[in-house]
Amino acid sequence: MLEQLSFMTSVATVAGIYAVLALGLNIHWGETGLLNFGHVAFFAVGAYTTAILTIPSPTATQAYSFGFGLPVVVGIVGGCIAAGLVAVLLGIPTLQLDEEYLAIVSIGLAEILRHVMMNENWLTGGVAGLYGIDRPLRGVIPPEAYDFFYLGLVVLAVGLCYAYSRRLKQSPFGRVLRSIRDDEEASIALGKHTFRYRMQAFVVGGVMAGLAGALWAHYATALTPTAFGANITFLTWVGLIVGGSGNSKGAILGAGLIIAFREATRYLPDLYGLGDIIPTLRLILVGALVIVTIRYRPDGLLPERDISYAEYCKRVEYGGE
Amino acid sequence: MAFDPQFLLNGVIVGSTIALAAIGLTLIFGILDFINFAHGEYLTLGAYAALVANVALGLPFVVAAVVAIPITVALALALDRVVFYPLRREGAGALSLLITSFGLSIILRNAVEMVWSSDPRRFDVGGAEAMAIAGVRITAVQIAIVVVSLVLMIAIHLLLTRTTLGVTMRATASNRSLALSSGVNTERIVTWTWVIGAGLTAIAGVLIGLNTVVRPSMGFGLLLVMFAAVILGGIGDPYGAMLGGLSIGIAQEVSVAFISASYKPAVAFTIMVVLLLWKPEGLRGADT
Repeated sequence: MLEQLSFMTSVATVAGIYAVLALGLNIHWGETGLLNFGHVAFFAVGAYTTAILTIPSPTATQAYSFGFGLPVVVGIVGGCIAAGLVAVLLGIPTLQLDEEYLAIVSIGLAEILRHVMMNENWLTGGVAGLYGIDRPLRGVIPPEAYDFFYLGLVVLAVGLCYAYSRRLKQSPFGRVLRSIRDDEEASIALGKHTFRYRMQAFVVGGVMAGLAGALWAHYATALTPTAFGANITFLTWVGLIVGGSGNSKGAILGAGLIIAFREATRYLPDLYGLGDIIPTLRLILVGALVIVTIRYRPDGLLPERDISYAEYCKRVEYGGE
Repeated sequence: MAFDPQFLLNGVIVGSTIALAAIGLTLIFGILDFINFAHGEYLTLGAYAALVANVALGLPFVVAAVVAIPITVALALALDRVVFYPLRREGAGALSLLITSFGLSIILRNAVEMVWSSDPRRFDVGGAEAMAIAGVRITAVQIAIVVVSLVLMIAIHLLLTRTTLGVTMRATASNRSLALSSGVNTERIVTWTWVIGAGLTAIAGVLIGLNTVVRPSMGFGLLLVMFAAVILGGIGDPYGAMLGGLSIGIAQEVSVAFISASYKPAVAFTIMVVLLLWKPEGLRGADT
């Protein structure tokens, strides 16, 4: 019983981290129409930044040269800021061009960051990675309750990102983003500086992915480059599309479903002796899920709810929701 | 350190294969109006089709390479019919097609890995002894790679300029509705675009596998490089893709003289980003 509870807690924690990733991608794709195919780059930058900021200074035997031993809170904030900066750098050459360019450049950046993680031993520990990353309030929370505490922390992060996304739906800023997504020319004609809005949305979504990465780093306590492959981007996309892009609840639901699917199939190999093909078969199914969803249910399980003009006026009149 | 012409030669070998694959990618973008993220997987499929014919069935390498073309083309056409055509018929946007191709790329890459495992494999072919010509080392196989690539590029040029099919393809790429109203059967053009695009990409896959190794991730790993070549030449422009592919290949190989070889893709990426900032319509300008 206790074992199952602990298993469920770990699945829920990972699902929560993916929900934060999916909410970030939802700001990019769902709200603004930005095709970010390198979401894992923000995730990785968030994770490695907080790790480098919080791990102790290296001893002679360790490959890395920087460890600042700062408090975890500083690390997490630093991870978010670093991910936001990456978004700015990535946005400058791409956000003024057609959507496809961002897709190409972001997938490229993610690939190159992986090479940096593998090769720059002084910074990232190389293939061996970074170990012994601190966990927040480790000495204060009793060890047997720690996983629940961490799950609570992740749920809090999901809640914050969700609350932001909800507000975005009703705020003037969010309406501009959706107008850029649906008809950029109309938006420009109304005098909106669309590049600036796109950039802001891109940074916000990037920061969320950085937060997810930081939470992952302090949960896993060890980082290796192999954990930051393109599959993280794929899974987040699948979660968002299946759940319903443009709908924050859909993003969370989709992320939960994808992680549940992944964890449920993790134990299949032992059952049927399919050990060798399960990892690839799983991704084949996930890829098929994307194609089928786009074809037959392009709005996902929970489609975006359009707030009509009349409903909007009513809400404003009655002082909002 | 004196500059070693060997790097330049390696660049021409790699660049000419990238150019072939990039022509395929850019033609498909020009006619179908979406960026096919599964393009790298067609390259991988071409290489594996030849590998099976060559190593498993024991056919001579040249026969195997030729056999790989219709197999890859047939697969590309079947995938278009099942995956892309329904979306096109419903008038789905370019982004739906793009995300669909993203899903297709995961499926194909993992299917290849499921069947052949992730182990790198080699073709059963001779000609690996390096000859020294004018101070550089080159193998007979590498000479063949460059010659085949150049011949195919000339063939594509003749096709696009001298045949009705080529002219209608260019017309469709530059203005689809005008082509449609002039009586061009665009679905027929789409089919021919897949035939030519997937065929060229299959050959590129075989040649790249011949120069290095065949592995399931080879196409996905080259996607960035192919994109860089396409953007460098201007999206949709086949001549630009040739130029872009050669330039990117040479830049990557020459960079090995200065930086770690593991950052070869970073060279392509940097060129691409600089170009997007400076001249997003591509080196040859916006004539497409």
